[in-house]
Amino acid sequence: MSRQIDARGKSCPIPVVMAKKETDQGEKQFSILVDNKTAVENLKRFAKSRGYESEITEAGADFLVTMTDAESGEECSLMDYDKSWAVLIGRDGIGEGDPVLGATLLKMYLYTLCQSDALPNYILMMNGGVRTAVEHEQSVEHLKDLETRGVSVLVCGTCLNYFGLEKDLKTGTVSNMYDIATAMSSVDKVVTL
Amino acid sequence: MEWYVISFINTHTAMTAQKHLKETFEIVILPTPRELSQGCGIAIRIRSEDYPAVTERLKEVSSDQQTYGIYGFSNGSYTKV
Repeated sequence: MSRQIDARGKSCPIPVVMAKKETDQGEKQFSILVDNKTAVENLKRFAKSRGYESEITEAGADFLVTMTDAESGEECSLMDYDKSWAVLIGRDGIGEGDPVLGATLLKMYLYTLCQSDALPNYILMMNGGVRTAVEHEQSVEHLKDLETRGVSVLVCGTCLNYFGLEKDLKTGTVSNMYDIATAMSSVDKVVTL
Repeated sequence: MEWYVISFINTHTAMTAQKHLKETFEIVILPTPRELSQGCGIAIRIRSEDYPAVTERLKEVSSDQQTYGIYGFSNGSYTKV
C-alpha cells in the first residue's frame, strides 16, 4: 500500500505543496485525498510536470489522486511548480494610456495565457477589473477555459456591487477581500496588470 | 481552412478593423502569431465561414488593401491568401 496523504480542507496551493514534498523525497508512488476539483486539476498538472502519472478515484464527495513515477522520468521544462503565481486584474484593461487599447491588450493576454501550459493558480479581479468577467465576451470565454483547467478565478463582490454588476457575472466566483488577500499571500508572486 | 487570421500594418488599422468587424462577426483578438512576422502586434481571428463577408467589410472600411494581410490556417500552418 502506497503512502496516503490527507489534504482535505486544505486550500490551494497546499495540496500541491504536500505532493511536492513527496516527489522531492523521491517517493515513487503516493496518493493524496482532496475534497475539491480545483485541487484535483492542480495535482494532475503538477504530476505531469514531474513526470508522474496520475489516476483519479472518486471517494464519496472526495477525490483520491494517485501519483506514480513514470519510468521515463521526462521533465517538462515549461512548467515550474516551485513557483505559484496569481494575476491581479485591477482595471478594465492592461495599463494606462488608452482604454480601448488597454481592453484589447487584456483580451490578447488572456488568449495567450490560454495557449500556455504555465497557468497561474489564481486570477483575481478588483475595481474596474471585474468588468473582464462581465462585459467582454472573448475574455469571459478565455476565463471559462482557464477555470476548467484548474485556475481559480476570484471576483471582488464589493466591486460587482459598486458597479451594479452582481447579476451579470458570467464566470468566476464572487469573492471577498479575505479570500483575495489570502490568495495573494499564498503564492510566490502576484502579477498586476 | 480551419480559420483565418488578419494581420495589420499598424495598431490603429487593427483597432479600427476590430471596431467594425465585431459589430457583425464573431471575432477573437490575439497577438499576431509568431509565424506571421509581418504586421503589428494585434491580429484578428475569424471563422472560416465568415471569410467572404469579412473581406467585403474590410474593403468598405479600409480604402487601402495594402494595410492588412489575411492568412488561412490549416494543418498546423498559415498560408497567405
